Amino acid sequence: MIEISGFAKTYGAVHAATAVSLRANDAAITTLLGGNGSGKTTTLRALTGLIRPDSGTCRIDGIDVTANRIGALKRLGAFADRFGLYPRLTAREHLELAAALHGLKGAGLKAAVDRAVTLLDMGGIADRRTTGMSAGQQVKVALGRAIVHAPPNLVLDEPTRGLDIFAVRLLRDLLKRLRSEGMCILMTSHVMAEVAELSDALVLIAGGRTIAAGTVAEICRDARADDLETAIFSLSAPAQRSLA
Amino acid sequence: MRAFTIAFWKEWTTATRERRELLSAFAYALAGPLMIALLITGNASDARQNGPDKWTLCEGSAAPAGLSAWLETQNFTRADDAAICLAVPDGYEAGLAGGTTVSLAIEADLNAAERPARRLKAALDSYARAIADDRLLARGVAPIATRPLAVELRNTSVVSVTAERLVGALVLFLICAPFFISQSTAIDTTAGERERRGLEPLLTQPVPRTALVLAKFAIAFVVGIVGTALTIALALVVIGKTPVAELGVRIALDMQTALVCAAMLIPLAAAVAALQVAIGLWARTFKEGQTYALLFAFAPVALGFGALFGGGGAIQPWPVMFEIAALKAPLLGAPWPDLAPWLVSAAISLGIAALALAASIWRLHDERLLAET
Repeated sequence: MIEISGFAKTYGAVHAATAVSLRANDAAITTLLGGNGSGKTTTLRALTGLIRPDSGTCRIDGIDVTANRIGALKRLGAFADRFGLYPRLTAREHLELAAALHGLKGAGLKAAVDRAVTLLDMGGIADRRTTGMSAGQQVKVALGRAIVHAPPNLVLDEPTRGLDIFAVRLLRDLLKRLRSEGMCILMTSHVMAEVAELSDALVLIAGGRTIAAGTVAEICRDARADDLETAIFSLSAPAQRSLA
Repeated sequence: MRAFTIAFWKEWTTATRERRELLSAFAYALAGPLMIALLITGNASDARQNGPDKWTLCEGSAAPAGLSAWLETQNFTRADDAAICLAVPDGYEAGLAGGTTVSLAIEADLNAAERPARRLKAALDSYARAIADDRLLARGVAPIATRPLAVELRNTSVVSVTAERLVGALVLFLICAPFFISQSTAIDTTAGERERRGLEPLLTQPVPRTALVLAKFAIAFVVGIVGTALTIALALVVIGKTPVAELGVRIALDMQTALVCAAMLIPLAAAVAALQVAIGLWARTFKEGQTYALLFAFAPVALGFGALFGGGGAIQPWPVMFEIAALKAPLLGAPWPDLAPWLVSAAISLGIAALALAASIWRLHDERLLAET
């Protein structure tokens, strides 16, 4: 389970986040929604220990990321919007590296890597270096790296950006499967169809703070809108106007 | 320790698979000894030219009676294609006969013919002394009376000036090795990785950032020290194939010398690798990091030239300065110097390495590191 409470972060005069709070449950996909610059990526960066909150807390399975970064990150898999793959390592080596850094070794490590390779249908590319791979293949490697150690929690920053329909389908199926296995999944996305199909819960952020949370139906009801896109637009508009 | 080992495996695999990077790192070890060999061979070739030097009269000069014969006895031969010419004034004969001073001039391109020009001047000075002695005798004065002191310059050094200079150049070349060899690896694993967005996923792993910095330092240090050892070995092997003995230079070229030199450079290589890692972590791109690292590599060159041409003095404990002074001893076959200065210098170098690593660890905790990407 992931909990963020009163998260705020300022860079000089820029208030990247002022009051973000959310809760992502186990066995559920929670989607963080918001316009560009609303504070989504800043929130995920705090959750993955890359930045320290000015105030508020980020907890992973009850462990405060700021107080115990390593303990919290052991229970997390992270998929960044920029894959950050190492061009001279093979796909399998990426998975082995991530698994080893999470404490796996020997037969357990090999089994974990083989499982991730099978799960992501990476057999054909597992022993290829990542340089020259297509965007879809790179997504598989980055995802494999995030889940190889079977973390109870997973965060994904815009995982479908730049993917073709085959890769999107594969990713969607994978996320559903991981959810059914009890994983807590927190992701960001701009694709409404994907959000509506996958999300068990939504958290809407605008102007650096949480403005709404609930299921798709609840968000639409609160906004008195017929569809999700209209609801998000309607709820975010005041905060977006104040930013402009 | 386990986190460090895993991170080092990643750095090692990445570094050893990048052939261009390794080639640029080890190009120094391969090309440098060849340059030293060319320098030695060229000097030996110049020294080997021991036939008679040529001279001629400059245009419009008077033909000096007796002078040509004297120069023949001093192993000079008159030839029209000579690189040096002697300007003799019209009143030469009359001036000598009248007991006055006659001015002669040697005209030569000293860049190309310095040695024969200086030898010709020495021969003419000697000729002038012989004429002066004749003049004194004609006046009833013993020439020895005009020389109350006979001063002789005796060289007490066991090492010739040529050997000192040659070894100085060799030492400077060896000290520069870690600066140039580990540079590419250190910058690629820091600024290069940051530019390729590879640092962020590494920082989201549950490992201490100290382990990540130490792994990056370790790969740069390993490449630096292996490359430096290779440079030393190749330099000594290649110098052994050159006519260095013809220059009157004796350089110890054995395995023990190579090991002593490599051991002396270990602390410096550690400080250099740590500083290069720090430089790389403050650079936004590989290119930017490489520019800073290249500027940093000029430090030993500047310090080395200062030490080479600035004369001797006490051994300084500071990195580079110590190695410049201390490496000469084993190469010239002198006994192993005192261990104490080496220990002091090693402690300073390792202290600098520790400070640079601490700065790098702090940098990995700095949120601006990724925000600036």
